[in-house]
Amino acid sequence: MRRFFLAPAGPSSAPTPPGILAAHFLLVLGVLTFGFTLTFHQLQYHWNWEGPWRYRALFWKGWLTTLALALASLGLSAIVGATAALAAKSRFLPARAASRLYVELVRGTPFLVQILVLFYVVAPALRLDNRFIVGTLALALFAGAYITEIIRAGIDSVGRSQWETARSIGLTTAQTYRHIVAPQALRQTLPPLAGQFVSLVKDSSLLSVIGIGEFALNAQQVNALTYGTLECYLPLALGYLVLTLPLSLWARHLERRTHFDT
Amino acid sequence: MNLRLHDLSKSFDGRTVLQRVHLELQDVHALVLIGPSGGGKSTLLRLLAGLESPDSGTIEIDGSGLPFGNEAALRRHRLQTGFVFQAHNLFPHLTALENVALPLIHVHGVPRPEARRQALELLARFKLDSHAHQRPYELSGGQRQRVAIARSLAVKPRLLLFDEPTSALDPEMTAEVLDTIAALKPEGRDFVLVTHQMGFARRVADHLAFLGDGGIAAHGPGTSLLDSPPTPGIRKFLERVLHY
Repeated sequence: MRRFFLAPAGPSSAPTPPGILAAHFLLVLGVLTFGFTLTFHQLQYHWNWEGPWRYRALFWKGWLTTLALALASLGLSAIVGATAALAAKSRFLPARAASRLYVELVRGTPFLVQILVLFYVVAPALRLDNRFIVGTLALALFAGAYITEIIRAGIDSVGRSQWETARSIGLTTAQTYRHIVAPQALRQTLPPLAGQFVSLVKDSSLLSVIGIGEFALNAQQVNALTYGTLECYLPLALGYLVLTLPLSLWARHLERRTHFDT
Repeated sequence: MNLRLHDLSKSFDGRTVLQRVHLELQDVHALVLIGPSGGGKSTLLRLLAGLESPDSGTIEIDGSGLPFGNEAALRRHRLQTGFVFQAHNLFPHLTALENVALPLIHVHGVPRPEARRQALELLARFKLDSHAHQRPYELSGGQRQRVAIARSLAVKPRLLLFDEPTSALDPEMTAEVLDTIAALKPEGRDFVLVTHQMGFARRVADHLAFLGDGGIAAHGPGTSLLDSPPTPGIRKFLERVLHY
C-alpha cells in the first residue's frame, strides 16, 4: 500500500513502476472529470453543439493561424532572446545597455500596448501592412524579453572555473559558448523556456485586437453568431492544450536527454 | 627549460601578492613551488600559464617573453601549456574521453576519430580506459584528477603546470595522482608544481622555490632547501607542515 502511494525515499531505492504512475494520473483525471460533470450538472445548462459545429471551418482556420503564429514567433523569439542575452554578456557596453533597456521596457509594459504601438505607429512608418508579420514580430519581441533573462541566467549558472578551464586549454570565447557554456546552460534553461513558450502560444490570442483571425478571435465570432458561450470557449481551451501539451512533453524529453549530474 | 622572472609584480584589489620578484633558472625540468597559503604560489603559476597578466615585469621561458597584453599571442602560449587545477575542472556534460579529446579537436584541429584514438590511448596509459565513457560525476576524485592530467597532456604541451593537484583528495587518491605525475618526469617534459606534499616535492624537484610575503624568499637546486632551511621563517614553515 505504501509503495502504491509514496515515491521512493532515496535515489538508491527502486523507482516506482510506470503502471502505478499512470494509475495515479488516471485517478486524478477521473476525480477532476467527476467534479466538472457534477458542477455542470448543477448549472442545468442546455448544451447546443449545433451552432459551433456549423462554423467548425472558422475554428479550424483560426487554430491553423494560431499554430502558424506560434511557430513563427517561437523561432524568432528564441533568436531574439539568445542575441539579447549574448549582448547582455558582451564586453561592448552599448550592446549591454541596449539589451537591458529592451528587457525592462518590454517586461514592464502591457503586451496590449506594445501590439497597438507596433501596429498603428511603427508598422506604418516602416510601410509594413501585413498583420500577420506585425503580429509575429510583436509576439516574438514580447516573449524574447523573457527568454533573454532565462538564457542570461542559464549562462550565469555555468561557473567561473569552467570559463577559466576553457581559456586555459585555448578555446576562444565563441568556442567556449558553443562547446562548454551552451550545453550546460541549456539544461538549466529548458524548464523555464518551455513555460515561456507555452505562455507565448496563449499570448497570441491578444493579437485579435489588431484583427488577426486567430483561434481566440474566431471563437469569439462564433460565440457572437450562436450565443453558445461554453460551446465556443471549451473547444478553444482544448485547441490551445493541443498546442501547448506537445511543447511541455518535448521539453521534458530534452531535459531527460541532456541530464548529467555535477 | 630556462626560466627568467624579472621585476614581476602582481596585486589584486590593492593586495600585493607578488612584489618585484626576480628569478633566473637554467635547465630545470621540475620546478616545485612551496610556501604558505596566500604566499603567491598559485598567482605565479597562473602568470606562467598566461591566465593572468602581471602589473609590471616580464617572464621569459627559453628566451622568449610571454606576450602579456596581446590576447591572441597569449592564447598561442596557452595552447602549448597544460594546466591542472586544484579542483579537477573537468567539463561535467562530457565523458572522460570527450574531455580529453575536446582541446585536440577544437583547438588543435585534429580530426575527430584520430583525436578520440589519441585520447583513448592516453586514458589507457593512466589505466582509465574502462572509464572512458563515464561522466565526471561517475568517477572518484582521484580518477577525475587523472583525467584532468590526461587532458592537459593530450595536446603535448611544452610546459605543464600543476596547481596543488591533490589538495582536494584523500591520502589514497593523493598517492594515485602523485604517482601519475612522478611517472611523467622521466619523459623530460618540463613542469612547475605547487604542492604542500613535502615528501613528493623531495621526490620530483630539480629545483625548489619558497614563496612567501610577496616574493621568493629562497630557492635552491634539488632538495637543499628542505634539508637545510636558509631562514628561520622557512624552517618554521617546514616544521609546521611536516609535523603531521
